[in-house]
Amino acid sequence: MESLEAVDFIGSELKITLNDGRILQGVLLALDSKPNLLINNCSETSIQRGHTNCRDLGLVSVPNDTIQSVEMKGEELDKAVKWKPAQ
Amino acid sequence: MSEQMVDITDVLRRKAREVANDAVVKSPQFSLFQGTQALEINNKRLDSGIIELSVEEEEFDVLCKRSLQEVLATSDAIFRNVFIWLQNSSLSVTVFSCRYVEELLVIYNKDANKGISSCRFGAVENVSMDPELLLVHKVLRSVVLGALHLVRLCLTLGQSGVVYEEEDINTQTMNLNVITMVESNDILKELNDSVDFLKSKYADSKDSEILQLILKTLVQLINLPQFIALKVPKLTDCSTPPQSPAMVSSLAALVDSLVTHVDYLNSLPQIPGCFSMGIQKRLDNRLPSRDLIPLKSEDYSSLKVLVDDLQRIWAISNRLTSQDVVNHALNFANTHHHVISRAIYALFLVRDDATVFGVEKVSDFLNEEMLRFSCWDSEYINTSNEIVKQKVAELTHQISSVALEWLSVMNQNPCRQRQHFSRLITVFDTLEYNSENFERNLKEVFQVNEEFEYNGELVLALPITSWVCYVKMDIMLHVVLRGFELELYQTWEFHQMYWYVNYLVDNILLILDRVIEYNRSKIYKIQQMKNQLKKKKGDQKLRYKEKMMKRQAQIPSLQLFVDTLNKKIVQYKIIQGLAVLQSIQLQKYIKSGILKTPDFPFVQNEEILYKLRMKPFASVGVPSLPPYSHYQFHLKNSLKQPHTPQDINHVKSSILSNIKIITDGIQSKDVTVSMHICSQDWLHWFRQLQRSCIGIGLQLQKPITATQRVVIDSKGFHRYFPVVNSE
Repeated sequence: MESLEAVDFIGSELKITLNDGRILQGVLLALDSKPNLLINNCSETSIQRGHTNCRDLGLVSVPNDTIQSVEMKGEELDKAVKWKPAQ
Repeated sequence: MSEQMVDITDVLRRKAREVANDAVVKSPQFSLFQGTQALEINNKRLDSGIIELSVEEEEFDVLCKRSLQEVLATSDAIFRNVFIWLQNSSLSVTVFSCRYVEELLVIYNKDANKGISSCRFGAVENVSMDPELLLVHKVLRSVVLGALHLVRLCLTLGQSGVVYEEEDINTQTMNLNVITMVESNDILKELNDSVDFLKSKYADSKDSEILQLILKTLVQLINLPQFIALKVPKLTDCSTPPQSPAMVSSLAALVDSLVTHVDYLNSLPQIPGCFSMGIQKRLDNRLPSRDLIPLKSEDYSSLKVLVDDLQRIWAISNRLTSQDVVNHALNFANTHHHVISRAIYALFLVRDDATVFGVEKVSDFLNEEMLRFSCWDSEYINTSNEIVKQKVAELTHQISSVALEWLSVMNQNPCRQRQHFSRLITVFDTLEYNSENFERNLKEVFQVNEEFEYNGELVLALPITSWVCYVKMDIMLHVVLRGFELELYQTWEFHQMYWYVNYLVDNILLILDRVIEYNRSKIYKIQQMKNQLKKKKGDQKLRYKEKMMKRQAQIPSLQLFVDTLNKKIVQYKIIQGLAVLQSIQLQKYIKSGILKTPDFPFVQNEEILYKLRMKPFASVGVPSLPPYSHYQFHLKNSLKQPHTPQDINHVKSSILSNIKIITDGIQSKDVTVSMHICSQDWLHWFRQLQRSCIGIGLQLQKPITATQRVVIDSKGFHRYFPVVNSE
């Protein structure tokens, strides 16, 4: 994983847990050095009145200070790592 | 996605730190400009996920019973919100912000194929036993259905291409299907059943009466598509104008009643939490958070505007000629309308089968226009040469597709009108070139000689080209004048634009004069047939006499068209007079130094600014755009020789007497003026021109000092001729 660079995460589908508990899922379009993330086709999952609510938000910018954790599919990450040395 | 997820928080943060501070790592297909549309998490203005809701909003119960007054207040609010939405708001802050609407749509969207049976607020037992439950699950439900059907209808109109999505009408539906699988008849039945229920259970209640008004109004609005399908035959001299369609007159009566109850409706308290920003937080939402629009911003006045518009549109049933259609369309383009009326007008005017008002082909309409202008009794029409007839028909077919475009501009908003008109200039210019070649060819190849004596020499009449050229120049004039209305020009550009108006009108007057002379020459030729008759003998004389009688029958029509063209000249002279008057006033400001091109660093050359401003007209062959040096020459001369008060008075009195000729014609329903339909709008139009004339005239009398500055005053004056004040 250490062989990867920031650009290698572009286009990956990420699951971002926010500090307020909401979960965002979508495709990473851009990031900066903070990193603030720009996520496309973003869906938001939250718990409202005891029910899980899922909705579409489209293009979303996620400031770094709102992010608790970022996850990625293991399979997709493996592919990115394998592809990297072959470059 | 939950299984086999790997936490990459630390690695992502570490790798991101390697990115330069001011750099952005991005997908090559993505432009950062698109990123400006992103919704930012945790930003109060952009993130709908952090909207805070009150307890009433959180715990709002759509299933419980409500009083008649509560149901009335909610129904009224839903209905009014439809019209607030149509004033450029989004559905999420208007109609969809009602909890009943949201709940019904969410349940319906889970199983849209079931149609109306999936349109409910939830599962409730024994509804039929309790009138207050029925008020919610029957009456309020039918109001929600009616309002949503109306929304669906408006969305369909918005998506039909006759008005602009997201510009004229906001079509974002939060990915909700707006009951597209529910039949209109099912909704009409629900609405009518609710009226019957209120009549039987709440017979003597004022609230019930108002609620019935809302339900009945919804019924009429749902029937609006029938209006678009109505055929409107042309009126003949002896036929009586058809009555307004029942749906329009019923709607007008209902709206008049509804408007009288607005104060009472405004006094009714809303159920707490019933209208909420919650839908923005709960459902698909690609828009920033937005506050709800206050209900009082709509008092059914826009519904009244819609009804008035429908009556105005229907007024075309009084039309006698194609000129009436043109003037009705121009009036529609010049006046403010409800967005739904604009969509309806476009579909009502030109139908799917490319007919005008469902009764005449666009090509027939165009033929009549050309006949009334220059082609009546011309050789092209009278010729027995079938090839020529065929070729003329081909050309008119080509022109009719452009005429169709012209007609479809009329319902657009003023900005779009100008944009489409600008584009039509080049289209008509090409058409004029083709048409002229065609008409010259007719003489050379088919010996169809359409000539007349003009200014002492024999010239080609070019009747079709004359019409095309006239329409093109009229469109050019519209484009220039609309620029004043849309405040496109800076004050220091006004003088050159009014100078160009003057130039254009000069050219229009030239072509109108030529066509009038051509039409007069046709009358003269017919009158001369009497002299020829004297020379004929026997059978030949009889045949010639018969032919002469036929031709003589054309004289009244030709004379009518000459008179009509003369009235057009009067109208153009009003515009020209005002442009001259405005120029005189602006020259005073220029001379005193208070009006000049500002010293902007980007203004290196005033000629470049002139060319940029005149770009829509630069490619036109005739009349060609005068070079900047011509304008400069004119300006210098005008400044050297200022107008005397007598000159100014002459211009003013000429404008005012020309306005009187037209307004008298409108009031007396003069067919040569052809403004008897929507005559009040036309009178208003000319009275505003009159006000501009008087306003500019008064301004001209004021002394100017070099320390003053110019200010535009458009309030109360004609939109093309605001008064340029100094203060």
